[in-house]
Amino acid sequence: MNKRVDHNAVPKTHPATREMLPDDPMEMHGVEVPGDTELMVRLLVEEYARMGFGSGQIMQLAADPNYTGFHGLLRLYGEEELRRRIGEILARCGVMRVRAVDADPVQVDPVSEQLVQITLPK
Amino acid sequence: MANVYNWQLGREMSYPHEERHPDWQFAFIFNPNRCIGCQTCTMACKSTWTFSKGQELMWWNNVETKPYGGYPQHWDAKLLAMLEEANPQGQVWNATEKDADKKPYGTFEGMTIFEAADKKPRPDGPQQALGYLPTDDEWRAPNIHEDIPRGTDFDKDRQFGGSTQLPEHKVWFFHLARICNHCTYPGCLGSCPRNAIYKRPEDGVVLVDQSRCRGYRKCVEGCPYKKAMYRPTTRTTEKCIACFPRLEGKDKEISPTGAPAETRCMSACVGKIRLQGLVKIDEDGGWAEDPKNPLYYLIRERQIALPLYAQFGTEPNGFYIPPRWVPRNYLQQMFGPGVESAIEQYSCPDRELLAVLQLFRANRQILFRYEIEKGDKVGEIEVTMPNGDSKTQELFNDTVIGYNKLDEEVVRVTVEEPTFERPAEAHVNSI
Ligand code: SF4
Ligand code: SF4
Ligand code: SF4
Repeated sequence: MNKRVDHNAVPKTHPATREMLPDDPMEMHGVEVPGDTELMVRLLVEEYARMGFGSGQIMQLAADPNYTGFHGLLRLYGEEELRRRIGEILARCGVMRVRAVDADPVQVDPVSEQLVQITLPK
Repeated sequence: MANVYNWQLGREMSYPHEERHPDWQFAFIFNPNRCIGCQTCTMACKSTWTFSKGQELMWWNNVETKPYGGYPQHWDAKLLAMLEEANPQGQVWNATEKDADKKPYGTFEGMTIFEAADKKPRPDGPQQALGYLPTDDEWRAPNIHEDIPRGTDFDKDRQFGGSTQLPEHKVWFFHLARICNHCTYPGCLGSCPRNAIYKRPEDGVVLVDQSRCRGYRKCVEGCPYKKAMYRPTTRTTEKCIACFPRLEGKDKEISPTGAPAETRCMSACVGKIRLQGLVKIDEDGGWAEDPKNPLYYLIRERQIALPLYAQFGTEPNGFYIPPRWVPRNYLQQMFGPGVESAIEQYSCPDRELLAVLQLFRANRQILFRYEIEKGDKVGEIEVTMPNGDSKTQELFNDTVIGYNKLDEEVVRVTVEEPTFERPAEAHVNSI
């Protein structure tokens, strides 16, 4: 009689498919940090309005998947709903505008700015 | 250990070296309310300083998405847990008694990383600061898959399967940009057995002397912000150098007269969330009174920008305007007891505050002084207060003027009349 253990007979379960056992300390538990999505949208849009972004620019930001965070909101609400919310907020808080003017650069003595020619040794 | 005074904690604390202070201190304010997570700052630093062999995982500037992200992963949660373990239930602030100069946020009654180090003796000898060495894996994925709780949608096949329990999360987040805080009492410096790390007397920038460093990585372990990084090819530690040639005014393109300029990551910021400067330090090590310095005004006078995890005890010189939509207990843990007042003021800034806030990223030269020219009222807007109520904010045609270290005017920013976008239907037959 063949007494060798047939390894192929042992049922194997891949970790990715095995059942979750909540009381097993080796299992991975995700923890939620509670937060408020509604407040976030409202305040983020207000903030962008303070930066001078209009609805078009804010929607452009949301549409770009590279801005994963804000883009996540577009996926959550859908384009139409997000546009509606942005419009509502901007009608209330307006878009801030500022004008920035750099002072003319101070002229410095050109002699000290001359380039030095570096030559390589032969 | 010596006794040193930490104004952010409102008390003396123990530190491995005697108290000594620079003439000026490099400091900065980041405003996570408006960071769009574009990583332009990260790339600006990377392409300037850390593009070589052995620096692949080294991001001196990084932007992580909170609450789930971190570089290295979970750096703050891990250290907070270690401190809690060393001092259970004791990591608390007493904000009942404050003093604008000596204890602006009250007193931290818990343990700093230096004080908690004794609580955790290790077989390899006494430690100077409580800390840990992140694994290579933890440095490997800066800001990848951090923005939404379960990774990215387009990556469905690779999401966790069995053996995990992930609750359904609401989408909320904020981007936290980080660089070295050029701390007043650096954990990295305090942990180095070879005294290879030093603070420059002229600007408080913390540097690693590459000729003295032997790569023990005690600084990597001892920096609570994990901003000292090991380079395997040179077997030394490297870290943010605060772009010191710019602080020295060596970039003639930006400042032809040799006035100090903002660093690479600061001046590249697309979201205009950054304001960097140098603050004057007085004889006893505190900030010299300088109310017309934009940093002094925002951090010390108005206290709308708060230190990141001041309870670690290193007196970091990076300050943050707390993001308004984030749960308060989360923010208080991160920025201390000043959060509520900071958010209240930032939500509906008064005339002077609004003007000074316009100086963020206004010019590449460091602003040492501002003046405001007052103008007429140009409008009113409605803003959302922390409790969700609306409030009316008045806008004035004020101009804020920024001056460099040589007191030359470099920029002026004027608040103008706001524009309103009304839904189209509101205007139909509006006559
Ligand atoms: S943030 Fe870390 S690396 Fe930078 S000075 Fe502080 S302790 Fe040192
Ligand atoms: S200050 Fe300079 S060295 Fe430091 S993170 Fe910014 S760009 Fe990099
Ligand atoms: S460049 Fe500015 S806005 Fe962009 S990620 Fe960096 S800090 Fe945020």
